Amino acid sequence: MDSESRVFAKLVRSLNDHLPAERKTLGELLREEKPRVVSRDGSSYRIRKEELETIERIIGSKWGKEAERLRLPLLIEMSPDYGRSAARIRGRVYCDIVQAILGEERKTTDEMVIFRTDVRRLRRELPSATQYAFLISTS
Amino acid sequence: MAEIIEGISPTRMELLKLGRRIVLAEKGHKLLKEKRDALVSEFLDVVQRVHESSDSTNEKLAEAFKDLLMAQAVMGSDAVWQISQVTGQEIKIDVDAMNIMGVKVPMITTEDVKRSMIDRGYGFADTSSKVDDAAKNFEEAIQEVIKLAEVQQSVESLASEVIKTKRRVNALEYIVIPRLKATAIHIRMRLAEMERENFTRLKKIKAAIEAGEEGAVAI
Repeated sequence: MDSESRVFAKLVRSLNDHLPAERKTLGELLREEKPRVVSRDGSSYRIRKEELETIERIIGSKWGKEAERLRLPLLIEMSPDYGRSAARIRGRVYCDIVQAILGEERKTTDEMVIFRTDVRRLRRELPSATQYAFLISTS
Repeated sequence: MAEIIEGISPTRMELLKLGRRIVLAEKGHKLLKEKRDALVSEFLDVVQRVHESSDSTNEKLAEAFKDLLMAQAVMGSDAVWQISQVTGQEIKIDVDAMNIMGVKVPMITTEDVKRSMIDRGYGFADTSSKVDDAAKNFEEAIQEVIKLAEVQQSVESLASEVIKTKRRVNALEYIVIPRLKATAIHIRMRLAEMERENFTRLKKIKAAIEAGEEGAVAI
């Protein structure tokens, strides 16, 4: 890797320092009195219990016990490749949560693309249980 | 036109390196712009919440003070003060942090501070109903004030991060990328010039050689 690529990799890493080092499951977080996750930069932050309960309520009926294994926070992937301010949600369960919050039904498989207003609505509903991830293609 | 980067030799190797740097700088710029847009969107959202929260806090406090004044008018301020002394309440506030794209914003949670009339601890017989109303409104106002404190601190933290990111985006957009592009153009022009010089030199050498050969044949 040349020096320019190293600088760029460092920039991307620094933009994603707030992402959790390891995502905890919904079950684990719900069992904690004060649910917290540790981010890549070593600091930790809290997830509101009410938001976890909202997520549990949304997916509990459809996914049953499987819902407990859902890893949080939910990642909102931002990348210039999807167009300005568009975001991608990956994972069937995560798509279900987003659709329930946005109140719409889409024929999605494992991922969906949402736009600025939807991202705002999603963040308003789940400010601590969602996180932005900044991605870029290497090609 | 933007300044060129000093100390770069005009070679094809440097031109290739510059090309790579421009691509990476443009990608970084786009990514930072995404972050800036997301931060601005979060910031606007929090500002809106500050407005909503401050409106409802002011409303609640105005109502509470109105009731307090009425209670003081009916019972006298000394009696109201005495009641306030017996109804002290400890409010447990849990202050923690939430993370918005690396910005630490406070997350303040409180237990429900609203109490029933019996829990407040003063007698009903010798107190006005306005005292109850004032107490109820102040309890509601306290929760609004705590919510307002949380969002107001978030606004400040987010604003400084928006400024920082904006500065980085602008540095890339108006200084780094134009400078890299100007240097690439400069190298390209310099290489073309060197190519033209070489061409002319070769032509002159060829002419000199031909002139020499013709001279030799004449002798």
